[in-house]
Amino acid sequence: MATNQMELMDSTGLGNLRLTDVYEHPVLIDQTLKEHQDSQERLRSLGQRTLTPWLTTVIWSLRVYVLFMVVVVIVNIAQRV
Amino acid sequence: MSMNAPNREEAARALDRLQVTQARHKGGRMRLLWLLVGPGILVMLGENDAPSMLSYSATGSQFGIGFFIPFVIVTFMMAFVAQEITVRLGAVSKAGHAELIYRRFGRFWGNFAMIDLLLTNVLTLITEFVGIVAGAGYFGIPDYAAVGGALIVMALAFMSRRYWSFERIAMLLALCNLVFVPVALMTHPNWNAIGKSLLAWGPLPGGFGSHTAIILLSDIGATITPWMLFFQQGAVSDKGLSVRDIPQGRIDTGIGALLAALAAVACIIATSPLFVHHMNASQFGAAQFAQALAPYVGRFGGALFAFGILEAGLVAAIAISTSSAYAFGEVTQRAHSLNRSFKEAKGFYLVLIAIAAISGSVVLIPGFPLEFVVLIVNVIAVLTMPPAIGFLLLLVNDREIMGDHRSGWFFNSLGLLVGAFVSVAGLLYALTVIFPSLHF
Repeated sequence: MATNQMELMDSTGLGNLRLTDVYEHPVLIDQTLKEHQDSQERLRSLGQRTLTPWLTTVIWSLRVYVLFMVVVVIVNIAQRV
Repeated sequence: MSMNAPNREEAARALDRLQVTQARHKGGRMRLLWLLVGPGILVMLGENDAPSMLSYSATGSQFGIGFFIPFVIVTFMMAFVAQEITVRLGAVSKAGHAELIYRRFGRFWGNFAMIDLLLTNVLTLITEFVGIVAGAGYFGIPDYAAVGGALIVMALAFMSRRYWSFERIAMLLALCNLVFVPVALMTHPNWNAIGKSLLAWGPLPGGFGSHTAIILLSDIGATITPWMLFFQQGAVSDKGLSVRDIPQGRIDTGIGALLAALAAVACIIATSPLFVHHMNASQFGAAQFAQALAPYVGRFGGALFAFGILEAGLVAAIAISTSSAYAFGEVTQRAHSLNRSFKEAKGFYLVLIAIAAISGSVVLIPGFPLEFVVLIVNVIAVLTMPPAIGFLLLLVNDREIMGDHRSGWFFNSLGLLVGAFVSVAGLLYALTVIFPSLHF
């Protein structure tokens, strides 16, 4: 892949890279960003993960922790005022 | 992507990737590192923000160097553990943190994460402007001019229309965080005491009580906060890092942690003369530290300290606004890249500027309890961290997203240790609030 990019860069005279030059070569852009496109497509195909009861409990516990701490902070503020 | 009409974001990212490919082929290791560093250094130095530096100042002036120098170094090690995960997540998924949470856990849990982020970001941004105003005030600059000037500098950084240019401008500003090092040296630090502190992890004057718990939590919040996760993963994805770049991403994060720890330790050392000379600094604000230090470090040293607070606020304001805008774009699935022009990503840039402008305006409201917000913001940041660490660990162990790049037992143990540490620190704080007479 990288060798192809290098060959393409040589053939298009893109030794000294500039944004305006890259714009003119959509094939090169497409090839360079292949990994990104593949990752994004893979991500799009992913649905929501299944939350097991254990996982749901963990996430809820962490949420309750934050809510409890918010109350603690409010108490602390009241103590200082 | 349309092959015939690439947009600006694609062209800019392709250009950055081609430069990386060139550097790899020509064997320029330092050039390769130079091209790939950025998000890690920015996030770590960005987190050395105004409330963080004020927290370190309060630490040095009220507790000296004994317990807290090694403690702060450990907190940066923990920050490295958490941030390294975002490098892998960003490089493998090419998606931001908010997008992954929404996609894998659904809107219900995603909204909770967003509320945490928004709450801590808005509060933290206000404190960044407190730092900017206080630092500028030392030089006689009026409040409105300081806020206006900061907004102009931020707009200039965002208007570069290239992630690469934005990153380099922000990094240049962020490196000014190291001004605390010369200020520390001006105090003629006692190197023996520093050495002893590192070896013995003490002393902790006054033991562990309610006030120590707040400082402790504040120092943890000065290194680990939710916005850092969203910012670095968003920046890694915007920069276009690939799986092959993960080692350099780790080095970037390591360099950032090292530089930020150096600045934090320097700040504690710089303010420790106030502790040594028994000055009561518990009510000090930002500029007051600089004024109080002037007898020990001279007018120039005091000015450097004030500049450091101003710069810390400015860099963090840039990074935190960006993290909010990345999250907004990811959740609403609108264009969210610094490689886009304003016309192409109006929502993204408007969120960036609006959130900064609103936070800056709050600081100008007469009678707003600024000092109090500064004190409490790092504490709130720590208390919202356990769910953030929870999602982080669940995402990095998601086989469908990470494939072979999910964490092994070693990285998972470190991640769990960080999560447990942050949670226990929060619980200790809660105990000292519920039972004020508690003393360890």
